[in-house]
Amino acid sequence: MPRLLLLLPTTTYRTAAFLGAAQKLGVEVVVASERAHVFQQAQPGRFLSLDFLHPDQAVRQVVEFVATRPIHAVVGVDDATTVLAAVLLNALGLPHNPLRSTAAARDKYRMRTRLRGDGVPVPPYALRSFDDDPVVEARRTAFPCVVKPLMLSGSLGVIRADDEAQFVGAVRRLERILRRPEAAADGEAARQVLVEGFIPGREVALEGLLVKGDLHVLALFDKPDPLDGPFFEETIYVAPSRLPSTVQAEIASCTARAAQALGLRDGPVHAELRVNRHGPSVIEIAARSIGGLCSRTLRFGTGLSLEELILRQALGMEIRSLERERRAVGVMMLPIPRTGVLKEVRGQAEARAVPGIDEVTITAHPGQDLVPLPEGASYPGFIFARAESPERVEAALREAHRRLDFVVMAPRKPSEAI
Amino acid sequence: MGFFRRWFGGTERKSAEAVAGPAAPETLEQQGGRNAVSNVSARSDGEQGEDSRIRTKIQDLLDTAINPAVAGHGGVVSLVDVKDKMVYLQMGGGCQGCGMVDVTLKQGIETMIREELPEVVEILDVTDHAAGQNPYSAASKK
Repeated sequence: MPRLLLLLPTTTYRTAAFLGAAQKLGVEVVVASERAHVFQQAQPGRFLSLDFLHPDQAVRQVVEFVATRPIHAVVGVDDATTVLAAVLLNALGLPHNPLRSTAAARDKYRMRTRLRGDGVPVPPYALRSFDDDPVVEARRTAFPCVVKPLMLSGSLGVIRADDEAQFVGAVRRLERILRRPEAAADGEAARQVLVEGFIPGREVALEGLLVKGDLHVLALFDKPDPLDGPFFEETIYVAPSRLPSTVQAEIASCTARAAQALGLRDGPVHAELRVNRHGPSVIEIAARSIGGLCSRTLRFGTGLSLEELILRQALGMEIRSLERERRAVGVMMLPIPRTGVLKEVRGQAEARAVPGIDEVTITAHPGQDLVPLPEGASYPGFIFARAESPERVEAALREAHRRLDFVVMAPRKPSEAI
Repeated sequence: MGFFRRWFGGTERKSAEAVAGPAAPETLEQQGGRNAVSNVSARSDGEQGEDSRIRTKIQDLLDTAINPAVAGHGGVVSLVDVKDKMVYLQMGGGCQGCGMVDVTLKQGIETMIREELPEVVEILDVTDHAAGQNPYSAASKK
């Protein structure tokens, strides 16, 4: 039986999907997380605790582990673990993307530099440091602009500024976000800020699989809600895209060039692009699959999940079809209604009853602090839909969301913080 | 999270319907537990005896190995029922709604049960994870 090392941060949304896929494929899984699992002592062959921030140490541990239990593939499920997976695969002599490619895909500044160097359209950008005086920096910045952290995902810390005062406020706010321990662990990158020109237009997300350097588009999602700031909260994704086929082809071509520019050759890619009359611009391209629970929308061939495709490729197993099911699909990442403490979510049965709704999943728990962007780092839940057309999917998602009622209590006082 | 998790294929909703029948004005976990109990009389003595043996063994595993381990994270696992060699478990405390509950179940609990009881057909989690008020770890975007 093939053995898979799955790098699963304890805070990932992706655990169930990848473990379920591994089980369907009959693969033995070794779960590596940044903290020791409660069963690690009882099941030493099934768990590893790895220091995700120190790859050298992780390599030593994994090399020691494989001396008695061979590993046939290593898969990371998010940005950070994808980089570590490449390092571990390299150490184990298994096929992998070039280390500098995965590292560049993880760092927004390095990514843009590589893309621009290869002529891939990206927003104008500049790297700034929190050591610089933002008032001075504001004077040499063109507006509107967007300030971003180099390494966080999910629009965390991403803020639009339309003038100098907003720029100063945005930079200071981002600096506070990056002081949090989970962000500060990114080291020097947490002391820097990417300032890029705001690109007007529609935003799309492309989910793809690279096979020996060729990009296979698995799904192109429209994001029907405008993402114009000041914060960039992801909400609805709908596939197939309603953009003209010529535009979709341009998006695919642009993403393929971006992957090539980074040097990525195999595995999943998730790209975000802005599209306007000048064509597509790459906002992000990551060497990982779509985040959150969004992959639940995707089925391929005879019903394979996205995670099954990824694991099959990683393990060198046959993939018969990369064709997505014909029905339109969509997901809504539920927006945080307001700051406070979640008491309950009413109307879930009513939301599930909307025609076309597959599932309503509330991931926030009663008593959880709800924090909106740009500081918030989690979704309160997800709605999934399937229908005959993208329009119906979008309408179903909006109606289901309308039926949900988040009962949110006042935010905790600092002395009550948990 | 849905009320039911099935570890051997199928969606949460389908598995809930398969075990508990159509949704009624009660929770699926209540319904699943009651159906499991009410159908016992339709089964042979041998089947009941086998389920009873499995139940005893699993309770022993919970008491001696599983719960002492998850207690470290404030968690607790309870045996709801065994029917037709299918095991129904409920997670509480730090396990209820925990972002790593799938790892705990599939990698830890299921492995331990299967090593001791390879005849177990299925292990189902009947926990309402959305109601967990103090999960040990929660998912986030970073």
